[in-house]
Amino acid sequence: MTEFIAYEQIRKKIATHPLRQSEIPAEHYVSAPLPTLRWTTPAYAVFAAPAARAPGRPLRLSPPDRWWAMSARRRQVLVYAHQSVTPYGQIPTEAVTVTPTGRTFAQAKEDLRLFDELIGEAAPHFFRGETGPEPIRADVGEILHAVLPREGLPWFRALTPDFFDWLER
Amino acid sequence: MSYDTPGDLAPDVPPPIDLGMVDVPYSLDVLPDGRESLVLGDVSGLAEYNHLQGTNPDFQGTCGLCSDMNQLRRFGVDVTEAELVDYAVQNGLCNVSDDPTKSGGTTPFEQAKILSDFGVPAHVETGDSLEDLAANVEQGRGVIIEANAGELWQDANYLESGQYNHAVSVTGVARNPSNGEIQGFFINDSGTGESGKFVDAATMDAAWLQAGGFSVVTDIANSGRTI
Repeated sequence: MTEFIAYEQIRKKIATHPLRQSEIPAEHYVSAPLPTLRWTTPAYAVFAAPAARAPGRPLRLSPPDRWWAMSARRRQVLVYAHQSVTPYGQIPTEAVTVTPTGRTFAQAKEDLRLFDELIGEAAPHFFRGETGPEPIRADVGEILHAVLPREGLPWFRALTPDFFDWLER
Repeated sequence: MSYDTPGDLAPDVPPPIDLGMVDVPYSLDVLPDGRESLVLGDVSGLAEYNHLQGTNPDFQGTCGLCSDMNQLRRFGVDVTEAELVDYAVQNGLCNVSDDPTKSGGTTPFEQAKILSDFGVPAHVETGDSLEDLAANVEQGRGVIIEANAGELWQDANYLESGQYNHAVSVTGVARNPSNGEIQGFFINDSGTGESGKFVDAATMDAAWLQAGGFSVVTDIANSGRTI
């Protein structure tokens, strides 16, 4: 029996969940799901933020205005809230312009694939309270900084602080 | 089935698909990459309905609303971006952010609701294949897809987490004339202002299908009939 749902399936479930279609504007930036135990049960948390995009110009993000979490075991939404009603943490409230990484499109796609693979490997260790192999934590830390927008990292840290703490042990 | 109207296919070309199900113009053409193609859909005619989003400076995240506008004008409803934004705001059908430049975003359900409210009934669908998408376009329905802008624009800045983050209208299907295989699609993109842009099948798979495969599809077709 599989203890935790595979990360790839969680990502797909979050992307296709009715909540995504009915509550989150298509134009919002939706963060990659990150593991957390902050609600005691293993879960993946996501935030969404208003975004502005125009070809050839950097991505611009407002602070997250909503967030949700899905069980890592049962494909159920555990919580969904607007940041203005139930904030997930103290977050910087300034909008940011995301500095282009200089990665090619093909490199960025490969980064995303690797991100999925590494989070998928690391998450079960984290959920079980294990330290896990140091190389995995190091690799995840590295790929996080490659894939997540640097200017928005405080928003991610505030959402899953326990996972970032685990990575940096 | 013959190819006598409205395209220019030679009479000896075997029919690649069941054109009895097709409710749009079709013709032989050459794709930007040089391949010969059977193009299904009034790509050039529908191009005139495209509109570069952002004419309302306070609401620039309006790709969903502009795609709605695209569809409404196609079905004879003359409406401006400003009028749609105003309607959406008044009826709680779009996002209003503290930062107005990022306001105007709509969910797929809101896009469908707005179309229906303006007299073009529509619904949200989840497609399992590119053939599902092609079938709707070939039936003459209005189709808005929820896609990943990074994939559509081949731009690493907008790949983000791979989810859909942009809405565009699909105006045509390109098929291999000899076997009917889907070669790609034509889109009107309010984000770039490009009309009738060709998107190959692999890119559409990554941009739309892998991002969830969601579409807003009208219940009526070009001919006015309800399907």
